[in-house]
Amino acid sequence: MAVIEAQQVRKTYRRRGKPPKAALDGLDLIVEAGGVHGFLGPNGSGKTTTLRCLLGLAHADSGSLRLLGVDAPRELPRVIGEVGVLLESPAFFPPYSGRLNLQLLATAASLPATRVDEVLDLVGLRDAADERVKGYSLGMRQRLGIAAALLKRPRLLVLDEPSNGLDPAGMKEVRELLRRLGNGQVTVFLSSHLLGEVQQICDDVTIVARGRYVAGGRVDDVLAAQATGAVRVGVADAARSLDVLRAAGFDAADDGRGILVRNVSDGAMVTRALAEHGLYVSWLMPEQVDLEQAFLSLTEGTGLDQGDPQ
Amino acid sequence: MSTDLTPQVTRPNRALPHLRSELARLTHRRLYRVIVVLLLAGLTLVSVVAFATSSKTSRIPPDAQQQYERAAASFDRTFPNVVREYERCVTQVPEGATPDDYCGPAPDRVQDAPRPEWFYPDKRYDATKNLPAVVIAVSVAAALLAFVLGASSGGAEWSSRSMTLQLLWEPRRLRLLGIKWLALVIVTVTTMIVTLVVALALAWLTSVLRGTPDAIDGAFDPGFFTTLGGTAVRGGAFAAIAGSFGYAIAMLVRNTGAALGTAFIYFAVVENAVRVALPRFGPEPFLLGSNSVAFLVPGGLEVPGASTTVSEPGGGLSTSVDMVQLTNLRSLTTLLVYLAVVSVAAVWSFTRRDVA
Repeated sequence: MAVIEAQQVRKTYRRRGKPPKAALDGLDLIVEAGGVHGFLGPNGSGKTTTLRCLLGLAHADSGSLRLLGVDAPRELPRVIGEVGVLLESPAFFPPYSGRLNLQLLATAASLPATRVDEVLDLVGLRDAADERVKGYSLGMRQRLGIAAALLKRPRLLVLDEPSNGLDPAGMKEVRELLRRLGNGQVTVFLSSHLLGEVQQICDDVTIVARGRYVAGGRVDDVLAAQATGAVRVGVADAARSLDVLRAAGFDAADDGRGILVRNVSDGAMVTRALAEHGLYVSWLMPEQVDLEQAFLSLTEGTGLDQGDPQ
Repeated sequence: MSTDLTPQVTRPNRALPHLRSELARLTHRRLYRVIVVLLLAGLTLVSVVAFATSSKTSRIPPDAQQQYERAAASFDRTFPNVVREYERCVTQVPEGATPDDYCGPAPDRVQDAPRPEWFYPDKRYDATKNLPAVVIAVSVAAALLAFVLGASSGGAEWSSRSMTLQLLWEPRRLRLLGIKWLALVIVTVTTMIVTLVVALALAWLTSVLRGTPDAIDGAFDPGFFTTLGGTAVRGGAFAAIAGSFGYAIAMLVRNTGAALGTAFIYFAVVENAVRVALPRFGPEPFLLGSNSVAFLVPGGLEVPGASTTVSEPGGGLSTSVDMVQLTNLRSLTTLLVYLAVVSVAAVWSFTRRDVA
């Protein structure tokens, strides 16, 4: 069952004195229930706008959006109690303490007061809970935002850059927590620009650019689809080996870390070509593609420097 | 990390718990607490001043008494001459004029006679004069502070972006706005009632200790407490209206400073500009300022309406101004119409515009 569905969603921001900016240009997205789903895209690709449209904060111009099986934002009130959200930088009332900010939310939703302490414990904020939020560091605010998102015991957790401002230990804790949630009965939808983070903890990924779907699926599948078929070869005489390989028609180059041979369907062809000239391979490794390379390759030329519209 | 992370269905916000949460949100605000302290400090200061400048005694000092008796004797001596002069004047009134216009009011031995307080003002604290003034003063102060509280609480929701967070818990925008507005009205009116009770208690105490709780000249008028109660109720309503105006404007402009600035510009510039630019059309009965005063003052207020300029038979022009009676009910209606317009715009904007 899909927990998030978007079909042909379009959203253009119109501002006085500025040309209209299309943030979503027919976006399609499906997130199945369970696990951790990454949502990747360059700045200005429409990630946050997608979340804002899904959660009823922004109105899509056209297209259809569904959250936990209901139309969003029309029927959002029916399921909002099952959705925990951390959207961009957490928005709390700065003069109030972290605990009071959470208590106000918990009171409104008729949640027991003990739940506030539970989530404060969970994110490691119990000691600072009675301090004013305006004195919190960015990392502490982020932890408080995650605590607020978890307050409802959500079935779907939507997180926009949850690692922002966290120190390495905090990032590790949050990743472990998200992984734990994803392994349980919670679906985590993680929008992040940290490709390593997504590769590390996500089961599935959707990559968007310029408000459109670019690629998606299991992380391994996305990486496999972007594999170049390159191998890296270690030989004693690199200069002669390079000449031999080029003469045999291979696309080869020496980048100081061995000879990189691109577009090779079978590594044995490389070793055979070298052996025919008395050159013997000491090691041969298929070149690994990571999510960063896949992401850059998929979103190339999509305006990485454009500011996020919202 | 042993917290239970199993999903559990949380019901959408119900009205009463949500209202309780909004009441707590408002009353925890530092501005609200400062307002309460300011109101109580102001009342205490006024009471101390009233206490210090009043006196329990009504006895007239001997020299003032002598001056009064001399003036009374002189009045008795000259009064028959004044009456005769008035009667002579009445016989000479020209055609088309009235005796009052030509000769002034008829002499009255009781009304015109010198009074002791002219020579030595009675310093006893007079409840009949002071209690209505206390109620109106508290109402005006409460209304001003309610406007600031409304504008500030609305603006702060946007500047801190806590509105975004709240919409992620209660996406029904109209309902969210309604509950927030209701919480503001409850807090404003409750604060007004508490302040008024404290103010009246202090005034009563001053009357007992430094004057008389009854009217100096005798018992209270029969309608005194009805009028006082009516003024207090209107004061509470006025504070609620002012708070609602502040909140609605802040929701419209999404900023506290802009909301306060809008109100300042309206009262300082727009109303005065309209008075200067359109005097012939008599804008006064339609302005917020005059309707606010008319709503608070018992019985309302008479204000200048449209003016008409006519040519005189003997040449020249004369201008007559129609006076308009703004009753409490009429001014309340005008205030509510203004509030409805601003509120509808705020609701429309809040439900239609994207939230950052």
